[in-house]
Amino acid sequence: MADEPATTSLLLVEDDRKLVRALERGLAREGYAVDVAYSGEEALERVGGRTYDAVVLDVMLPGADGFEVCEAMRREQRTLPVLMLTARSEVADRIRGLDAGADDYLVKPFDFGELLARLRALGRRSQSERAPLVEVGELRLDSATRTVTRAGLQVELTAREFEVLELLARHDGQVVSRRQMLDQIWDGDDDGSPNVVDVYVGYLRRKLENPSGRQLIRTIRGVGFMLESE
Amino acid sequence: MSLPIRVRLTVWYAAVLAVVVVALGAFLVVRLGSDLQAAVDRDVRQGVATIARGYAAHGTNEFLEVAETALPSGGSAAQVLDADGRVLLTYGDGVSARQMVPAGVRAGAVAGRRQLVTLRLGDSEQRFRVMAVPVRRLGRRQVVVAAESLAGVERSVQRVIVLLLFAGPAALAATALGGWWLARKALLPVERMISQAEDIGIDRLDERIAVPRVQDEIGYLAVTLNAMLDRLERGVEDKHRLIADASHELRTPLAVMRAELDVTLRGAELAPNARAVLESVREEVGRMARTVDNLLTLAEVDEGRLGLLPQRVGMRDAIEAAVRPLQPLADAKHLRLDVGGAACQAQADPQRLHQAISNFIENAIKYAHPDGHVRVMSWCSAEEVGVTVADDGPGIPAEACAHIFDRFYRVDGARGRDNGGSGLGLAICREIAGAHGGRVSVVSQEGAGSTFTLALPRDPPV
Repeated sequence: MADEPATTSLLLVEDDRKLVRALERGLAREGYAVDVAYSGEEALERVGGRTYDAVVLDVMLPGADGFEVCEAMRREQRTLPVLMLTARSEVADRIRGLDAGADDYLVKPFDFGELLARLRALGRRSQSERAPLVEVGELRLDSATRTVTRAGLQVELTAREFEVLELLARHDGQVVSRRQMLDQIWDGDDDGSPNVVDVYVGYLRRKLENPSGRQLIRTIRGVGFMLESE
Repeated sequence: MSLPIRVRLTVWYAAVLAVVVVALGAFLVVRLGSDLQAAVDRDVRQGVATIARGYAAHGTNEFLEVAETALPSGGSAAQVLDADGRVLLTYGDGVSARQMVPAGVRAGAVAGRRQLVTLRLGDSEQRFRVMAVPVRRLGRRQVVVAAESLAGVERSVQRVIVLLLFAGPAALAATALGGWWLARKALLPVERMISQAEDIGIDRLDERIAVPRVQDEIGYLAVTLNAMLDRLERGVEDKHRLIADASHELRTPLAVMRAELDVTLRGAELAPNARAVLESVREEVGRMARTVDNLLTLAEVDEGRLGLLPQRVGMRDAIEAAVRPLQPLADAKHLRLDVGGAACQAQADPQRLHQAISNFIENAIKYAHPDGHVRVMSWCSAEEVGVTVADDGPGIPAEACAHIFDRFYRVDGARGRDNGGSGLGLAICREIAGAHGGRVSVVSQEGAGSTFTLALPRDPPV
């Protein structure tokens, strides 16, 4: 795969036509191939029809809202990067976005340059998500051989533990919510109580015990977990 | 009156009881005294009459015999006096050796008046009930006097008084304690309700006060309080919804304007004057967006729900992201806006951090001298990660530095409304820093500019 694809295909899901017009114009000029959906249902149809490099998804949509659309997309295509747009900045809404599986979150009104920067970051991340090697600080994960080393020393992990660590490592420096972990690792089993996540994080913490006593996996109260690089 | 109800109830209870006990005791003592004295009077009256009759009929021997049967054995006395007061016969207590009645009473008796009087007799001045009656013996007018001591009566009354003096206060104390206990028991549910109500903050309005099982006034109070909480909760929910709706209604058009302006200004096809106009409009849209952000943040702070979603943030990146949209504002004032410092990592809510840094920079641009200089630096120490924003404006008087982060606070003069300050930006910086467990501070020298600092802990307590 080339370092930067010539054109990036983008699905813009937004019901405000004026905003769509402005963004479409700007994104097209930056070299994006933009498709537009004005409702959640339309967005899901389009995602089912072809593969996009990223989706820009408004939260407030007629019919199914952005969160539901995001969840539905996640079920179809696990790696599709989703950037959510919202007019609400409350933490509860942002956590809802995380739970729905959004990769990033931009509060309206936003700087157009900021939108471009976030889209570039998403592109980089989705590339690195396909990369077999993930490195965070002293940790080195190889998803091809499913091995983990810490400062060169092998760490023995079970398959589940590896998946949890990999998810955290691929979202290095970002909070991963319990819901997100359940959805992606336990396939959203309804009987999987959020406690199971804490149990596995507990196993990992013991196996990855830090000589300095600093926790590698930080608990973000009321939200989820985040991997520390230092 | 700031005493607790329990104390007041007990004091009232005890006071009323004390009055009742004292009145009852006094009545008892007076009544007992008069009843006992009436018995003595009866003895004396009958005794003197019997003695007089016996003496008149049979003389000396009979006097002694009758006196012995007619008067109680202890503390009584009888005597026979002649018309001049000489003692002719005596019986009983030693006081009978001398005339037991004053001359007036004796004379009255001689004249036929029977009188019952209280007198102090003998060396010990003991009180006696004394009665004198006239008698004729062998043709001579004489007087028979009988007396009975009141010592027994006084002793009984005194014993009752002593008893009351001990028992009264003891009973009073016991009942006051009981009253205290009762009041406490009755008010315990109220105290429980108070502590429960105290715990219900604006962010915990879904909680309710436990309603006591008993359907009394206190149960009714709990129900009433809960109904009030229901209304309060509904009101706060309405406010939440209003704010959420308002934020949507205000931000959506701002987003459209911002996107149209940004996209248009990125194009090269604009005439210079059109570009200037659009840039100016974009500045205003940006300002409005920040004001909306600040107002909504303030609403969240007031409702105690300024939440954070922390992640790892590069301080340098955060500064650059905050400076970018404010650059045109600085350009319009011909300010130099410098960014520098170490590339430090912070654990912070990126959106809130952005808001705080933007407020700092906007504030600095507002007060910097035209053609002046604003420096935005990131830094980190062993414990903290922070941003410092320095301007070369007029500075802040020392007495104002303490209040500069207070809500709606404005320094007179240069920092007035003409600069468009709402007095909210810096207050919000402080709230955001506080929510992260960090701090804000300012150092200023009048005439030489101000330096604002936002510092967050490196190891936040999340």
